[in-house]
Amino acid sequence: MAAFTVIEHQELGAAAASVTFSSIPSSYDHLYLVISARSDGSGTSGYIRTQLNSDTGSNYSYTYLTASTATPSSARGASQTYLGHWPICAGGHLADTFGTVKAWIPNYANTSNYKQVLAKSAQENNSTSDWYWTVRLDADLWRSTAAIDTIYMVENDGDDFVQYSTFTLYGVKGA
Amino acid sequence: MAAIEAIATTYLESDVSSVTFSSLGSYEHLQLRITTIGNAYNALKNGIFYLNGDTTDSNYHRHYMQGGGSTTTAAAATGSMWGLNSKADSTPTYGASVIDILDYRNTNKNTTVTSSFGSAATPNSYVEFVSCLWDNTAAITSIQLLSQSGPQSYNGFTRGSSFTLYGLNSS
Repeated sequence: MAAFTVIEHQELGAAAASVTFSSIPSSYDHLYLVISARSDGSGTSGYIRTQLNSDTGSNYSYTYLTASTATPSSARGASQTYLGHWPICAGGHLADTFGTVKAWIPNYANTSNYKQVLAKSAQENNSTSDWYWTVRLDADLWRSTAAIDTIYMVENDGDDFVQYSTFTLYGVKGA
Repeated sequence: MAAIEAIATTYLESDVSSVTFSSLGSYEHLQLRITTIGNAYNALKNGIFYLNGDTTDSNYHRHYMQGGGSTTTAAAATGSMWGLNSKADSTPTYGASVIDILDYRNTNKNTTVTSSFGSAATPNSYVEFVSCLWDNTAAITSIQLLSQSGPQSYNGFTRGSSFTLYGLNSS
């Protein structure tokens, strides 16, 4: 039996404000989300906001370690309305360059536990200037015991994800 | 079709000057899982990579953050980068790296490469997360890996190192 299965893959044929994976089956043990995306917003503040099961309440929190200068920093947010910002490239970054996100969602269908998301993300660029690049590690939490059946991703500032952005969701099974 | 397939594994029976993968298949993403010790005897524990034979370091850009126990740092610079152990470590520990190359065949995107590395080898234990950009939209057809012993000075890898390349499908 395959350990990894592609649940859904979306490559944007045109700019889109959001991407949703819905009707996620509960038959896997874990989820693995791989994103290569760029915002059409100006500047260097492209980020993905993520909500689960259409929950728009203040039921999310995050802790992250990040660097956009020579000094890494860490922060925590509680009672948020979305999972932590995942940085992606935007109009202020080198053209044709897309940010990357790899997110691991263990035990997403377990109805006894809150749901954790571990994410690694980056705003790649050809600049060495402060704040023109970002690397980041996130530990995010959704305070719900519901099985995750929907993942909704939207650009943080209301901009669009550009054409060719890709979003791939894998289901992962144990033995 | 399996979502993840092993494309190739290179296990070193003896020291080599570099490792190259040149048959990359037709997948959505690539992932390299590596355990290695570089051939250099200094404390510089960087690997580099070249894509499609482009050995011009200025075409690559790296951004990273590291933690080494009591210290943390981050930096941006020209050139590619991934983490490995070197012969300067007092114990023969093979450092572990995972390298992801997303959408490597998409000619509408510059190639982005992220890597995670960790090693508890003494005296130079640390963890790091690295993001690299190759300023080129060409589809990736080959990956060359080397270790770095200094600025513009490159070495290979020691016996016992292993490199496995995986392809991640999208359907």
